[in-house]
Amino acid sequence: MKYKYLYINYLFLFVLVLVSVSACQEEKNKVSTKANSILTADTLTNDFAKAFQIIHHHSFIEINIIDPDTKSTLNTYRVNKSDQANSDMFPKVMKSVVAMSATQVGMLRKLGLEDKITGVSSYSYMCNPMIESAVKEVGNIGMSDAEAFVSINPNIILYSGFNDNAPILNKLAQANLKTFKIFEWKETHPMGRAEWIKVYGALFHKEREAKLIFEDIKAEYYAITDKLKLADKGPTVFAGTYFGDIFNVPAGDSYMAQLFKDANIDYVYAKTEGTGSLSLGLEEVITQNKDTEFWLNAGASSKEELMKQSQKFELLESAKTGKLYTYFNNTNCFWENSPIEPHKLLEDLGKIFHPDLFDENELHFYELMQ
Amino acid sequence: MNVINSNYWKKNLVLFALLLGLVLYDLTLGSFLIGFPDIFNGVFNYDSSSTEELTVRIFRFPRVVTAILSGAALSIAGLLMQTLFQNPLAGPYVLGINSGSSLLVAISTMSSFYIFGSDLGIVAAAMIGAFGAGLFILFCSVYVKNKISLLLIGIMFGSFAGALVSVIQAYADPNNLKTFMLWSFGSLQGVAFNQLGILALVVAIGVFLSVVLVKPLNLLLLGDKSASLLGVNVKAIRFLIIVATSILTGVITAFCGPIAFVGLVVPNMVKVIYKTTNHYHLLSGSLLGGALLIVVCDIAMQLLLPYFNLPLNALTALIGAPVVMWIIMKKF
Amino acid sequence: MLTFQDLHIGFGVSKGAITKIKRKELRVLFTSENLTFKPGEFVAVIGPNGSGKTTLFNTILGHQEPLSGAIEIQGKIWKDLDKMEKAKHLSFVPSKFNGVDHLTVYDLVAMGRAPYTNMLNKLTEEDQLVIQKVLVQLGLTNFVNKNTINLSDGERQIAMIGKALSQEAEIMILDEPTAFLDYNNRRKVLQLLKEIAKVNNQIIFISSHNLELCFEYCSRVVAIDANAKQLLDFSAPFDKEKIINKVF
Repeated sequence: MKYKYLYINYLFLFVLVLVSVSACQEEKNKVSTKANSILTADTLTNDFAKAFQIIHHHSFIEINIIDPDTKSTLNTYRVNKSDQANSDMFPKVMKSVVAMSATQVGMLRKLGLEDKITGVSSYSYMCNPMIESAVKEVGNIGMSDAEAFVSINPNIILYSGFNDNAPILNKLAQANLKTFKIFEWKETHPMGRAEWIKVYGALFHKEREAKLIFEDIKAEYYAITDKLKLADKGPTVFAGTYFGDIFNVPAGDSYMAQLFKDANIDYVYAKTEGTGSLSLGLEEVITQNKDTEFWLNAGASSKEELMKQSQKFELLESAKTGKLYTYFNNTNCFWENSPIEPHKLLEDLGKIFHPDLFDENELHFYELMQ
Repeated sequence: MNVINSNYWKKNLVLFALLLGLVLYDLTLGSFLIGFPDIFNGVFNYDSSSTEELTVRIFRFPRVVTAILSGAALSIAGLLMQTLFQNPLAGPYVLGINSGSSLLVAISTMSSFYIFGSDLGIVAAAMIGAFGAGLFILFCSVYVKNKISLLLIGIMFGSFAGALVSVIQAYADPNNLKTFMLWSFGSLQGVAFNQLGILALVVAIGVFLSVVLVKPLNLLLLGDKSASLLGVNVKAIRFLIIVATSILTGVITAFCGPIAFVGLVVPNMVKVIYKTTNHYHLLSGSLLGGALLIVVCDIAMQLLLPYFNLPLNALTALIGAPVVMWIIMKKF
Repeated sequence: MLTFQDLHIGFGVSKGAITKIKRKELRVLFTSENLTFKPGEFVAVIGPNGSGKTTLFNTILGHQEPLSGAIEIQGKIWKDLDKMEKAKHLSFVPSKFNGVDHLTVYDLVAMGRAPYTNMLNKLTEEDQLVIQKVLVQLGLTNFVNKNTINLSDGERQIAMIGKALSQEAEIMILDEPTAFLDYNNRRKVLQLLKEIAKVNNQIIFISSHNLELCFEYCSRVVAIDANAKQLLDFSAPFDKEKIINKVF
């Protein structure tokens, strides 16, 4: 009898606790929704980019990295706005940056931040030479050594997130080194990629400059698109690199395809689906493009090298007439600069396919394959 | 036992008919279906303006013929090795011939060591590597008394070459690394129509040499000593077997990359089906069986193309490994 | 007809051309006076372990060279004959044969015809007749298509003898043929060999440790006296006591 009552007592207490805790939660939720409503007002909307979101809080800036396919937030970072140190956030003033990819270096340079770069993955990927005493090599993210990072001790390590399972990321976290995923390559719109300059602006408190740069680029880009819209469709083009029986061809919704669309180019695979590359068989690509006039982005630095990849390329009209344009000969500068200068890339395409609309035809990135 | 036995010829006929049927089917497969009239014309009455005929001549026909030749050549090479070493687990690569190929291809694609000039095509590099390895083994075979020692030398050479390849890979540029890896997956599409003649000729030479060796191969089954007492010059025969193997393996590895498992699996299957030790029948069985296996793998690859792009070596291993396991469990 | 001429049997002779090794000391195991063996003889080679039985056989078979002296067959010097010729004069049966999968008894016996067939190993009418004769002589006709792996040890040994017989060589050498056989099979095999020597007019050499059976079936015994390092020759009838005392 006694025990029965005790039991009921405990049950009652338990329920009481449960109710009060949930009430507290509700309070919290109310507070955070309130906060959210304040926050949502400070969430910046992007014009094109889908992979990041910048939210201004009172004392810090929140940057979320989003997977454009699933819309889920992959990473959340905070950048300190106040002078009070906070170990969970990136400091207000950052002096030392490791940039694992050339694109990141390009964007930093655009904002005048290249002096802060203290580490890159390899000098051989750089468009402009680096001062070796100031900037160290740390290797590729898959194969790099954590100690190299530790000796630099940067405030922030920018990485691309291709390989999110690289064991080095764990080691860096253990060494209290902060990494930041720069997901600009996931954007399928050229302007979306360029818009990432705003992320750099948020990180380094140069948001106004970043916004101005972006607006400039946007204006130039669309000026060119409008100009090209008026022209005729132009010659047929296909694009892709060949590796071992398989052609990797930009799909219809990919970054390259978008550029082609904006440049008013008759891209053979424009109507295909997908935001990445299509893997097509050699037989298919060659039989479909026997008469296509241009071949862009072939994976070789000279015509001779290209022909060596497969004897069967001789069947292609584009190979026979030599209408092969590629950026393969200066991939470093291509990767460093084109994401932040999509208008120049667009202009290149315009000059190749609608030459009559331009005064001179010097190309920035592309080159006729010799 | 007659040399000509109707039972064996019946089996040969069945395999041949099966092969012919599958070959014709395979020719229709690719990125789009092609009918028989176009196939016939593509090969015999070529008109380059027709896309179908062009496809047949440039892509399909070479692919299928390469499948036949590579399957046949590697199976025969495997048979030779299995008899020489009296071991059902020996294959054409047991002497390290394809390791020599791999090494030279690795050097020519991934290192800055352009010994022969950067123009060296992969085919030439593979060929030179294969024959170089073959010569090395031949040289050893003259001086080494015991064939087990020869086998060990082959395996050691293979390991050594493999280790060098790993070193080269560690320092390679990712693009070149990918090229090398793709070569090592094996491919039937690397042969052009006008190269088919050379490929067929070299394979024919290898097969001819193997036919000449039928009698001594049969006698080797009782061991070197007994064979020697029946009039076989064991050292000379060993030499010729290695030459034949080098020719067959070298030329296929050069044009198609290393293709695993065929040489190991097919001779064992043939022995189970034909139930004979007479190499006259085992050779014809291996030839047909090997061609059949690779053609089947090619058909599988073409059918799977819209969904996956499976490399040739993956398929031969997927089919071959369970078969090898079955053989081992059955025998030992 | 086989003759030994002033034979010195041993080893240490460096075979082959290029050797930079110091010449090994020649070790003589035994010597023999001139001996002649005629067809129809069934000869046993006996001697203690290590006395040189195996070396003698290796020398006759051509795997080794005699230290000095010569072996002649039908007047031709043995080591000058080429491999094919040797195979027509001499056949060999090892002490144990484990069988080869898918190799039938017929196939095995047919292998003995190798020195006579062409490159493709085609069996002519004559070849087939010889094989048939051998099969009948050895009582193997019921086993013709059996897989050698599935035979008993005794049957396998007889099948191997069949292969040696189909070679139609005047001389057959068997290395310890009864070592792995049971009591019945031993007698059976030796009886067979005795008949074959007579009927086919061949010289048959066996080596054996089973002295009783040798004395019973063989027509001649050649013994190695390890102490005197000499080859002794005895013909039937044998004085068993004397021989054993001398040799062992």
